[in-house]
Amino acid sequence: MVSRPRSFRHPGRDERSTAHRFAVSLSAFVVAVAVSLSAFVAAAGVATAHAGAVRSAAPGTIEVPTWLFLLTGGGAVGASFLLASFVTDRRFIRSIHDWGGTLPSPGRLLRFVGRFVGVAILLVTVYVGFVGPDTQLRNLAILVVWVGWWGGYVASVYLIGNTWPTLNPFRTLAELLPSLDREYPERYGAWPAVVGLLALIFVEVVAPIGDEPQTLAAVIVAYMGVSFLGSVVFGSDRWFDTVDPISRTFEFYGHAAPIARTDDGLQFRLPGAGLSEAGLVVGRDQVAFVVAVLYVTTYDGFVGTNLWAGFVIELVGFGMPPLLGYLLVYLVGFLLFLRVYWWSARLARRYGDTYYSVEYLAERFAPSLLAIAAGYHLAHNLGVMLSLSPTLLDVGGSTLVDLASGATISPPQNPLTLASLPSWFSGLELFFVLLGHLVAVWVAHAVAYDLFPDRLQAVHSQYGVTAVMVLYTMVSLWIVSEPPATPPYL
Amino acid sequence: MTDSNSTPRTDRTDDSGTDDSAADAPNNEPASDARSTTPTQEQSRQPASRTDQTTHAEKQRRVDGDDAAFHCRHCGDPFVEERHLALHRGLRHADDLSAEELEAYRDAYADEEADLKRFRLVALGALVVLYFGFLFVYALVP
Repeated sequence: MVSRPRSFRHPGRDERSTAHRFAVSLSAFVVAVAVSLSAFVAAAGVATAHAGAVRSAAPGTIEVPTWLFLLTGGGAVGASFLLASFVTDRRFIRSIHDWGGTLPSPGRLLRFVGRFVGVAILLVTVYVGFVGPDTQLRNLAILVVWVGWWGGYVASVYLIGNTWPTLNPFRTLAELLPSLDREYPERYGAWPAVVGLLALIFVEVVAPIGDEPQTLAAVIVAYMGVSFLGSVVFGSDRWFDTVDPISRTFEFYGHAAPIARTDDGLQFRLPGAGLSEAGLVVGRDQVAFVVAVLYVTTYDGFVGTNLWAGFVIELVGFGMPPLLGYLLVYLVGFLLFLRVYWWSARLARRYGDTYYSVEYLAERFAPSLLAIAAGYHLAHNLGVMLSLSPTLLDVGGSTLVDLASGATISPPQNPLTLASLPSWFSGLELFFVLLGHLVAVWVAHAVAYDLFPDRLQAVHSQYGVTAVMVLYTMVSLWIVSEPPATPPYL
Repeated sequence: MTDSNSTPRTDRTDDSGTDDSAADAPNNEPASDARSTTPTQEQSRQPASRTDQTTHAEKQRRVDGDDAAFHCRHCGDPFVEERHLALHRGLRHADDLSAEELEAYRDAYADEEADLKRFRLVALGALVVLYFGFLFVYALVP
């Protein structure tokens, strides 16, 4: 592909060679995608076999040792980096990320309805949480929060678009309050959001808000109280744009989505294409926040493994209070994740032969981690969401009827659930984990091409971030494939 | 990767030292070398002085290359190698290229293509090793 560079090419004369280059790039890309997909299928096949082995219910499945299964996942990510590096046409890479257009913005009426529905759902959830039945699957609050919101709605944020700024009922209510409009200290940046996210997920892990409706409602009320206090002091816009961890998480997830809200209307693009833009993540605080988004999903999965159960029992044996053990490992794990990510940014600077600061490189490569986090979230929650969504509808319908008629809330004793998901479903979950990593590899590739004038620099700068992704795939595949265990002492 | 040393920093002397005319050409380019003369420094600072201080601070955060040998005369970005600078000018400032810069861009581009070709071979080799490695491991593992 030795042809003349773009900038002094005369359009008319070189049209054929442009078309030719484009065709070559396109075919390289198609081959890359095809090979990656077959790698997926192979890995997913292995995964199914493995999951089958875990359940030891499916006769006739091939058992693959865990180390080989993890190595295959890591190998698939490494191979996709090599395949992506075959795509070297700058214009082609940019054209993928620039593809899109704008749609007219939805009307004010729709937004008003969205806000109203958001607030209504919040109020019903808290009310039912306090007064509804104690049984986990019969209480609408539990189902709305964990099935509807955490499983379904969060997935819609990164798969469709970030609608949270409109729907967020806490914000709608907080905007009604007066504000002191105190100056927010700039030097804190996103650090309070990092702390808030870590705190929220820690509460989620150690408190029984997954099965006790009253506790869940109490946590929602506490979160609402903190949000209102923050909005009164700093103004609701400032609070929800800067400090509120949930809004920030959704904002970052929304960058991966195909639809984004802009001043001109709704902009659409390919899924994940928005992650390569400059300026999505600014400063060490926001890098730490993105790493935290990735980390909390991992920790959430990690406490459900037998390794953790054994470890924490060991810790308590030494006389450590269980909660302190959970907290300590939680924080140490986060610092470890952060450190490994900064190490990858330093590698990018060293191998990229560049004067870009480590901080800037860390900022630019950070959004690719969001694709991984999204894939992991989907893999983790899709099964629960699908099998419990009939329950949500069943219990939701009956609870709303009871509320409307003023009767005591008495949902069906044994609400509908999807009895079992097909056996290939666990393969699908692992496919999502790998898909997230593949998008991440591509995003890092596009970012590197955007940053560096020399394409060799671009390739070399990705070594660190690819190594981190390979490591991370292996860790998260291990967690997903582990047989579920109940975290002890909680 | 074995290919990482295909563009060593010592290229800088190799590129400009092949013959006399080639060695002179980069020095005649304004501000290709920030340490050279005062007018070039003024030229390279002009864009920075026009913009406000926040963008300057932003740039300081983005790059730390005050001691760099190669600075772009349009935007002041520092580069480790002359080839990076030549490619940067061709990509980002394509409309403001002098004849020498155009020539430098062409050479750098051809050079880059040759290195990329080598890298593709290495990557292909790595893929083959990866593929057959896994094939053998899967065949051997009971």
